[in-house]
Amino acid sequence: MKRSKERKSKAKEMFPLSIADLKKQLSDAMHDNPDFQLQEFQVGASKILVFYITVMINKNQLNSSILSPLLSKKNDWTLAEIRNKLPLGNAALQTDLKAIMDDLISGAVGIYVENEEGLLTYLIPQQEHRKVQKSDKESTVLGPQDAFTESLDTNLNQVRWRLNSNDLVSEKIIVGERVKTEIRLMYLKSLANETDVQTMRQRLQNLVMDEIEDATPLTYFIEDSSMSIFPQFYQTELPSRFTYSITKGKVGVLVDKSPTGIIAPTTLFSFFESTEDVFMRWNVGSFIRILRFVALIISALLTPAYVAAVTFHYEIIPTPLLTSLGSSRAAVPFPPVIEAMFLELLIELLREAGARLPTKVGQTIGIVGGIVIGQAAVAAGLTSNILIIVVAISALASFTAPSYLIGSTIRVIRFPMILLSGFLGLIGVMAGICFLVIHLLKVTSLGRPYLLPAYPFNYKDFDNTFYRLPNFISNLRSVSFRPKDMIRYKQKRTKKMKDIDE
Amino acid sequence: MPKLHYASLCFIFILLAGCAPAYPIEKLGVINTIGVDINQENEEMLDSTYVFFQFDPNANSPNELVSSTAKTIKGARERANLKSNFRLVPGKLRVQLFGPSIAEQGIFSILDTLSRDAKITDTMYLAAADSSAGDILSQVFQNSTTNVGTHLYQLIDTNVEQEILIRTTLRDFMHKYFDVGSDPVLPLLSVKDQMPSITKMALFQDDRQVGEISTEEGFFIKLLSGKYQTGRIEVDLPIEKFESVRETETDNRKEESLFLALSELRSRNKIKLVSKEEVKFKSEVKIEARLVELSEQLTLDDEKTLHKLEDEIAKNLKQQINNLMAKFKELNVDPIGFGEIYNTKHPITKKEWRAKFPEMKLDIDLKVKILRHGIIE
Repeated sequence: MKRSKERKSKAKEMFPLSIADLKKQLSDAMHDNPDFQLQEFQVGASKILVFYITVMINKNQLNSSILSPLLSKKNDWTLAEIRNKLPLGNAALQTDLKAIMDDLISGAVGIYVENEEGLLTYLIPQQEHRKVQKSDKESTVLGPQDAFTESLDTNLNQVRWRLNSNDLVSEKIIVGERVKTEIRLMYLKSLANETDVQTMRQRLQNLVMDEIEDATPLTYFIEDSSMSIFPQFYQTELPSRFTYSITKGKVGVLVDKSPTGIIAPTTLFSFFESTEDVFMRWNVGSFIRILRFVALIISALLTPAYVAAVTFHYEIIPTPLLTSLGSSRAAVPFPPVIEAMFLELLIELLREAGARLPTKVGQTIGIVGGIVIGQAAVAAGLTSNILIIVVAISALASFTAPSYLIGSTIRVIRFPMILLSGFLGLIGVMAGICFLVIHLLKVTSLGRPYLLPAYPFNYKDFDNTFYRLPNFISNLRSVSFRPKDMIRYKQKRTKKMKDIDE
Repeated sequence: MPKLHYASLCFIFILLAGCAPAYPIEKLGVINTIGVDINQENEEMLDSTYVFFQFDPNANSPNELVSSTAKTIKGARERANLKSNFRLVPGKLRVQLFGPSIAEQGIFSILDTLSRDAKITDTMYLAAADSSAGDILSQVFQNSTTNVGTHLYQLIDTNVEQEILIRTTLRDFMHKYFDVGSDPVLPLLSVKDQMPSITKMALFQDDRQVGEISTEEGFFIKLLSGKYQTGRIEVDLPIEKFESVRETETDNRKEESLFLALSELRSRNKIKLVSKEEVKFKSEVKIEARLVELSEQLTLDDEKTLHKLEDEIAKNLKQQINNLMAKFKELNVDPIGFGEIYNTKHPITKKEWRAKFPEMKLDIDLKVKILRHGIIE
């Protein structure tokens, strides 16, 4: 308290001062930055100093809205007059050097008239960013195609445009001690659960860190359990997905300089939902959603099951398969675990190489790896051809998850599972599954259980999670997340069709 | 930190427990069929013949045959292992074949080890053979053009699926064996034209083979003890009774009997104990079937003909059942399980039932209904 008083009195002492003094103070604060421009003008009897960082401001606006009105006048300027006459809306009167610096680095132009009690800053920032493009990380066939960009303004625009309602709250939170980043907490006032909003707000406000790189690393600081391998917040670059979740009563977070929106609370199952399910007819949507759950199981368990069966439990292999499996295995000199690990590693290498290389080369690598190495490995007797099918299916299945994060989580889980099945057989696989289930029971997302609605069991939510039902049945929002308003629309009204006679 | 200690402790426990015994399939000889006989020279010894899969990428066929002699089944497998470069494992055993020598002495001691072994499925089939089981297996091994290992299994399985044979898995056998007043039946394999075929059904008294019936007669065991979903049967009736309804203009063949085939046969059956003192049972059987074949042309469009046909079939079937029952009583075997029904009302021991069974009486009320007879132009 005492210190802030002191600083205030000090700041008051800063103005009025001569242009030369101000110049010196500003240059010192800027560490003689070459991009920092100070221009001195003499209009009538008043000396005016205009200063800004050249790379941060819009020069056209500087010339047309600041410099030309400023210099075209013949008599003296006062600060009040500048404020009234300049055709810009966002003037701020600053008296503190630190505040001036903050404004300058976010793209403001400062104007000082000598011997005045303060100076004016005008924000005319110019940010270079890419245009709104199609999403390539979460591509959908149906529905909106646009994706978030790195600019918070654009992202906010996209969200606001989709949810054009004054119910949409957007709270501004600044995070970062050294490099400040603007974060927006977004939710629907009449819908979002207060506790969720409060928890998220508190976590963001309490965050003390130097700087945040992006939205994704931010989630690692504010999520419930950092030790878990499972992502606890949904990250999307689709504004449609972002707004869809917000309209279901969830909380969204947008971060400046990041093309990723964060959605919380999230359950494990929502990582396998795609907005596309909603655009499909309910029965087709259900089929595809269930298919993804099956893919999850296949992806995590098919290779371990193969290893376990071939190493320990020959009894469970159907007799016709036994002969073909046996003869393909007989040519391989390694135990099944090593064989499976080798192939899984190969697939992961292909995926990683494909992701790092430019698109055109990446495709070539895919073909070379997939066909040539696969064929050669079988011919050389390094792997059995049935395992290649198994591994390919499980790799394929792991890419069906709409979220890239959960897909990579499952791919990583597979490796310990294969090892367990190689040492202990199906008992090991079962132990692994038990471990995962126990872990998942304890994980929370924004304080809400991760396995909702399977645990705690809530049958009412199944139509929003595991499958979809026609709209006249499924008219509620997720009970599990306790939104303020449960009902999306009245059930009876949708059933009643207006006939042409009426 | 304590958590980390627990984790490392758990890890050490896992290491101490060691790994599960591995059965990598490329090193296994997976036994599919076993044939058991009693050694001809030494009555104490058992001859076992094994048909198994072995996985060698360079071999033409994955099947292999090995036989050995020992005092126990498990011992025989150890001996057989000495002759094979693969580890013989019984986990996929599908058929166990018994030669007449051992079937007549009793097979329970062998079945006991099978049912105790958790690796062996209870749904494997058992079968008896009319010559040495080892011979039959080697016949199959030499002459089968299809997959030798699964030949016998498929032979039995397809016929069971079509309800031509009674299901005779290990579980069924043990169930009937342990039940009071019920005896097991097994299919009887014999070699015809160097290939095995199911010719008869072997009747067992407890675990000893005491007689045999034809597979056609086997139909009635299931008719009285279970129900058919899609069964089939052939019946031959005396032709005289149908002279009046014959379409003589179109058919002039002269034969003694009328042959007909029923298929898609559904049956329901209920057996009640009517009198305890007389050991009298009453059985109500209802059969619904499709008439698919007739050796003579009859005026089937007339309902009377159809009813007559139904009555005659019922009469014929009843006669056959009575003949079969006489055979059962003579051998004193009860594959239908009348004793079981008796036992539920009036507890009885196996021995007592054996004494009572030859005196039992059966009253049959059999109804046949022909659902469709097809469109005949």
